[in-house]
Amino acid sequence: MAAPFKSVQLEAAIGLNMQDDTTEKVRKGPEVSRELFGGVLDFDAAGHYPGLELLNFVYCGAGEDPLPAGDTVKITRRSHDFGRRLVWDSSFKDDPRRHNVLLDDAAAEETLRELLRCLQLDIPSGAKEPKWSRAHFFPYTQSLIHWDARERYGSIRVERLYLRGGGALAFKILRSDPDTMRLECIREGFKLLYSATVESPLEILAGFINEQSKTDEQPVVDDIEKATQANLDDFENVYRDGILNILQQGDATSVAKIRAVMGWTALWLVLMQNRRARHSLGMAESPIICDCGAGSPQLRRASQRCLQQVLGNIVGAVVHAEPGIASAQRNKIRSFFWATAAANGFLNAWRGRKHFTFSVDALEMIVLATIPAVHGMPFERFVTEVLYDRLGLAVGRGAAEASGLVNSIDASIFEENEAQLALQMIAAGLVTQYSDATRMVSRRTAS
Amino acid sequence: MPENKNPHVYRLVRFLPFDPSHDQIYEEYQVTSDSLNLETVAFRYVLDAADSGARVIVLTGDAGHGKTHLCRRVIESFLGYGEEEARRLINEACDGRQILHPKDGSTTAGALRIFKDFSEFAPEIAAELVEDSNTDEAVTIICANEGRLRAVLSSSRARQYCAELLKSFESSFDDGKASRDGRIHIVNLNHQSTAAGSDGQSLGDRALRDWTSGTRWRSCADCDAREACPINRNRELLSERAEEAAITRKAKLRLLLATLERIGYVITIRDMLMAFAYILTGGLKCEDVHRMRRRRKKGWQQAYAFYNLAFVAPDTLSKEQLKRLPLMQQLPKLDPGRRAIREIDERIVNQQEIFSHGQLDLQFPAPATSDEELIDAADGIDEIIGDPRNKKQRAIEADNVTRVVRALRRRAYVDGIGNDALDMAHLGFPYGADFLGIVHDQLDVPARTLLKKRVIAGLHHIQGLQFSEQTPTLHLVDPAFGRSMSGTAILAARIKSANVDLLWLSKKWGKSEEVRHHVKESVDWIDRHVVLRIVDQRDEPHDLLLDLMTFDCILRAAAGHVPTKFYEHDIRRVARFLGRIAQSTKATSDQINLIKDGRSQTISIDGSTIQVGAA
Repeated sequence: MAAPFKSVQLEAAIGLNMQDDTTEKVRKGPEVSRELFGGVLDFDAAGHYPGLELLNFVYCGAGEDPLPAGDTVKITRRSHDFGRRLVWDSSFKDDPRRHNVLLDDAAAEETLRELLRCLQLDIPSGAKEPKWSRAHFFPYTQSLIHWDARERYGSIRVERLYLRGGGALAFKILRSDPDTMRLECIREGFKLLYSATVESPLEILAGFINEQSKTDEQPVVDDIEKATQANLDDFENVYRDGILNILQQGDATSVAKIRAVMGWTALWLVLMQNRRARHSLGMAESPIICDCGAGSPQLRRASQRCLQQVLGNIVGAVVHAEPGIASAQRNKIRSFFWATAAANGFLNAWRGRKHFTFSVDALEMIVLATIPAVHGMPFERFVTEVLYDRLGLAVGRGAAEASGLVNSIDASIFEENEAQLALQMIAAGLVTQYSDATRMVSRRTAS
Repeated sequence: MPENKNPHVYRLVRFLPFDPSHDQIYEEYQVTSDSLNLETVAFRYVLDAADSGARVIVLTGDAGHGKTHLCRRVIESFLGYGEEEARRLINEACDGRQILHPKDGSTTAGALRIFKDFSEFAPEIAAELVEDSNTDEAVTIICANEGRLRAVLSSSRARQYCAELLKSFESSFDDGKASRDGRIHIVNLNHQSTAAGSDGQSLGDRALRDWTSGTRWRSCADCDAREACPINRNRELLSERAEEAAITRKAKLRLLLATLERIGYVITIRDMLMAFAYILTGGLKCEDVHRMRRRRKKGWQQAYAFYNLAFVAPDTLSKEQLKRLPLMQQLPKLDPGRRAIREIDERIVNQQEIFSHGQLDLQFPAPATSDEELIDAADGIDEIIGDPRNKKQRAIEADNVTRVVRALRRRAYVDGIGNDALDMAHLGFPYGADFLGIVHDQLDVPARTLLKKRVIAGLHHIQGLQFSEQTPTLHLVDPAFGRSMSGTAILAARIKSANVDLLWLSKKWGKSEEVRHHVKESVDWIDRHVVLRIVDQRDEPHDLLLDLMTFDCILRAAAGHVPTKFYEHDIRRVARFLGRIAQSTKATSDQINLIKDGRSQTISIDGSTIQVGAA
C-alpha cells in the first residue's frame, strides 16, 4: 500500500483548501469520488478502515447521541499512541511513559506488548511488521476505538491517514435516515452494542491505555463528514436495514456483531461503488457473478471477467466525471473496490488473479445483516431475494435467468454453484437442511 | 445344473432407484406379497397414543423415514383393515379431508383423519385444514417433513391451533418430550435410528435378516453359478446360518450406520433399504452374474463383495447412477480401507491364515506378469509384488497393492480382526471410543474425570491457550482473544472441573422411565450427541451439543494439533459457545488476569501506573 500523504498534500487532496475559482482546474480524486459515490473512497482507506472510521464517529461523538442530527458532527479523536507505540514502535524505549507508567519493568512491558499485539486489526497486505501509525487495534471494546495518529516533529498528531471518508459516508447515511423509526432503532442498537463489555477486563485495560494516550482536548468538527452526501439512492436503505438487523441479533456476541458491522459497511460500500459507477455511465444494473467453488472453469472465468468489468466501469465513471484526472488518483478510487472486497472475503485473494466468492466470515456477516434474528429464510429465497434482488449478486439459476446470464453460461453451472454455496453454508452452520426440498438459512443454527 | 433366476434378487434390485422398476421404494406402489414390515418403536408409540386419547399426532422427518408406511399400518391395527384395503385408503382417503372409520365388524371405536403428505397443499390451505381438524373427535395424524411443517404452522392462515402445534414441536427439541399434555404428540422420525438396539434388533439388522434368510435363497441351491456368484457370497457373509461371523459383520455394519448418524447424517429407512439392496447385489441381477461369469476374467467378484461395494462403486455402475443412492455418497467418508493401523496392517499383510483360503471375495485377478490366473488375498500381497521395469509397471503394481490392501482392511474391519477399541479408529475417528464410552455410559468415575481433563485441554487449545502442564480448571479467554493463537490472552473466567460435565443427550432430558412421553420412547433411539455442560459463575448451565465430529475435533486439539481448515465450522461453533459464556461473566475486581506462555499472570492498575506479576 502507498505511504501516507504528507498532511499538506492530504488536505489539498481532500479538497479542504481548494479555492476553486478557475472552472478548468482539474479536480482531485477525493472530489471526484465524492461526486460519484457521495464520499471519499481511496485505496489507502480500503479494507477494514471504513468500519473502524464509522465506529469512531458513532462512539467518539461530542454528545450522547450515537447518530446526531445536524449538518456537522464533532468528535473527540483518540490516538491510542501509548498502546500502539508500545507494540509496534522500536523507539518506544525512549518514551518517558516506560518509566512513568510501566515503572521500567521490562517483563510487564513485554507482557502488555504480547497482549495488545493480539488485538491488531488485520492488514491483508502486510507481510512485515507495520509502523505503529499503520497498525490499529480492532474495536473489540468501546475504549479500543481510536483514530489515526502519527508522530511529527517530536509530538503525536491525531490526523487522518487511513480513515479517509468511507466510514464518514456510512455514518452520514445512517444519521440521515428519513425513516425515523429505523433511525431510532439503530441508535438504540448502537447504544447496546458494547453494553456486554462495559465491565470486561479488556475494557478496563483499554480504558487505562487510552488514558495514557493523546486525545483531542476538545471535540473537533469533521469536515470530511460534513462534505459527504447521503440519500442519493434507495440502495442506502439496504445498508441501513442491514445495520439494524445486525444490531438486533440478540443471540450473537458483541464481537460477532462488531465484526459484522465492519464487514457489512465494507461490503455495502463496494456494492454501492459498482452500482453508482454504472449509473453515472448510464448503464443498466448488472449482477456481480460469484463463483462459490463448484469447479466450473467457465464460471470462474466469467467471475474474473466480471471483476475486470466492474473495475473498468469505476475507472470509466471517474474519467467521465473528470477527464483530466491523474492516473494515480484514478487508480486509487478503482483499487478501493478490490482491496476492500478482498480484505472482507468477497474476493478469493489479495494477490494474483481474482474472482468474486464468499469467505465463511463474509457469509456469516451477510446472514447477520439480512436474516432476522427470530425467523429463518428458505435457502432458495435467500439466494434470489437477498443475494440477487437486494445485493445484486448472481449465484444461482434464478439470478442467472433473471439477469440473462443463461444466454452465455449454461444454467446447470449456476445450479451447481448454488448447491455448492448451500454446502458451504451448511458446513458453516448457517443453513439447516431439513429435507431435499427444505433448507433454512438462520444464524441460530450456527450457535 | 441350470442357471437359475432367484426372484428375491429381482425384488432387491427393485429397491435400487436406477432400476427401471424401482417400485419397492414407495409405499403406494408396493404389493402385499413383497412388503417388508419392520416393527418400529414409532409405530408402537403412535398406536398407544391413539388409544390413550391423543388429539393429534405429528409424524415429521425427511422423505423416506416411512411416514406413509406407518400410517398404513396404523390404519390396519387401529381400524381393523387388511393390508390391501389399508393401502387403498392411503392412496384414496388420506388427504386430511376424510375421516376414516373402523372397518365394519371391527371392535375398535376410534376414527382417524390422516394428512398423508403436507407437500400436496399450499401452506395456507394446509394450515386451514389443520385448524378445521380440531373440531371433530377423530385422531388426526399429520405427516410432513420438518421444513414443510414449520412453513404450514407459521403460515399467514395459521391460527391458535397451529400455533399450539408449533409450540409443542419446537419445545420437543428443548425438553425432549414427544408430548407435553398427552393431547398433541410429536414423533420426530429424524431422531429414528437405523442402528438402535443391540443383539441384532436394530432396523438394519432385522432388514438384513429378512433378506438373507434361507427360504428366499432356496432357488440358488442348485444354480450352476452358485460358487461364482458374488450376490450369493454376500448373502453367505451376512447370514448367520451360513457363517457364524455374520453376527460380527452385521454389528460392524450397524456401527458404520450409527457413526454416520452421529456425524449428523440422517439415515431414513428408505436410504437404508436401498443401501442394503445395493451392497447385497451391487446392482446385478441373476442373468448379469451368469453373463459375467462366462465372459469376464476370473477374480471380478471381489469388487462386488458387500464391504467393498459399501465404499467403492464397481465398474458396472456410473457415478450418476450411484448419486441416486444417498447413503452411498456418505459411506465412503468412513472407508476403513483408507486408514492405516499398523497393528491391523501387519496382520493382514504379513501374517498368514487370518482369512481362510479360497474365499470368492478375496480372489483378485493376477497381474499380467504373473503365471497364475488368480491371487488369493488371504496370502497378503506377496504374489502381487513382481519386478516392475518401468514407470507404467510400477504404477500398475501400486494400484494392485492398494486395491488388495484396502479390500483386506475393509474385510478386517467387518470381521472384527482387530481389537474392538480400534473400530472407531478404522472409521477415521481416533477418539470415537471415548464418545461411545460416554453415550453408552461405560465410563467409571476416574475414566470420566480423565476424559473431562482432556476435553478441557482441547477447549484451551481451541481458544489458543497453552499451559505448561495440564490443568483441570477450564480457563475462558475474553472473546476478543478467541481467534488469537499467540498464547497470550486476557482471562474472562475460570470454571472449576466440577462445573464442566459431559452427558449423553437423552440424559440431559431426564431418565426415560421417569419422564412421561420421553422422546426416547417415541422412536428407535441412539444418542447422537454428547452434551458439554458448563455451569458459569452465576450457577447458570450452558449446554453445547457435540456430535462425533466436534467431539473428535476437541480431543484432537487436546492432543496438540487440530487441522483448523478442516474443522473450521466446529472450531467456530465451540469458540462461539465459550465466547458467550465468557461474555456473560463480569469482572470481579480491578485486577486483570491473563495467561502468557502457559502461566497465569495478573495486571494491576494503580492510578496512572500498571504492573504485571505472577498470579
